[in-house]
Amino acid sequence: MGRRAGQRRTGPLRTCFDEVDQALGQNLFRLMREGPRGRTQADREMRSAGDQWAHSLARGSARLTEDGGGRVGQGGKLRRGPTALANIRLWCAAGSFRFWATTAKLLKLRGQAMQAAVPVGVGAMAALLGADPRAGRRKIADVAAQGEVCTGRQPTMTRRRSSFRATRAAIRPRDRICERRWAPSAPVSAAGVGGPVSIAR
Amino acid sequence: MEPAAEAMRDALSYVVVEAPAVPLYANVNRSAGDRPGYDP
Repeated sequence: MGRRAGQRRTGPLRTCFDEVDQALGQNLFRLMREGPRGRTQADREMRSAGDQWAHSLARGSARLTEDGGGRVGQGGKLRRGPTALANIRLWCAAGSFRFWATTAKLLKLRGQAMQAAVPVGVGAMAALLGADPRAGRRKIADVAAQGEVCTGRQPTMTRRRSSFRATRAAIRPRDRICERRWAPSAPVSAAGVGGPVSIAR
Repeated sequence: MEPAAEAMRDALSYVVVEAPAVPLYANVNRSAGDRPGYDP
């Protein structure tokens, strides 16, 4: 739907896309249409953002009800997702960034910075979903002690980044915290985007 | 990811951030924030 809306682009949708195109020096709709294959992390993020913006703007709701990043809940509060991608887009949806171009530049910079931080094919992601918080914290500490890069703010939704093999070896099937439910072992791109390894209890 | 986090912190320090139209709550810690931050 986002792509169809992007193709028609009128009114606020046209304003958004024109502003983003001018700021980034690339055609966002073409990126959406052609897909992320063979493209960089930054392009993938911009394509995802473009899809959501087009979809939301077509419904006249890009501000305050952006899909994917957050939703207006009771009392008019927006809920932020755990990822910066959703985070940045949600601040945009709430009107904190004055221009679409600001959000677009931030998203592109984020993709470029993540791509630069982790070589393609090296990153992996695992999640401990529904784990007991104490057990989750212990597991995170164990993983950190092995020298792996680890991000863990909420034990019940913990992600760690390392090589795919190391991730699989560190979280064993007999682990009490979780059972393995491996996603298809697709090549994992930088920062785990494109091939997240989901581990659910 | 620390280099990426540093790049985002630096970029965000130059961005004019208006007050959000409605409170933004993180679903991680259920707290409201006043500025976007890097959170890979």
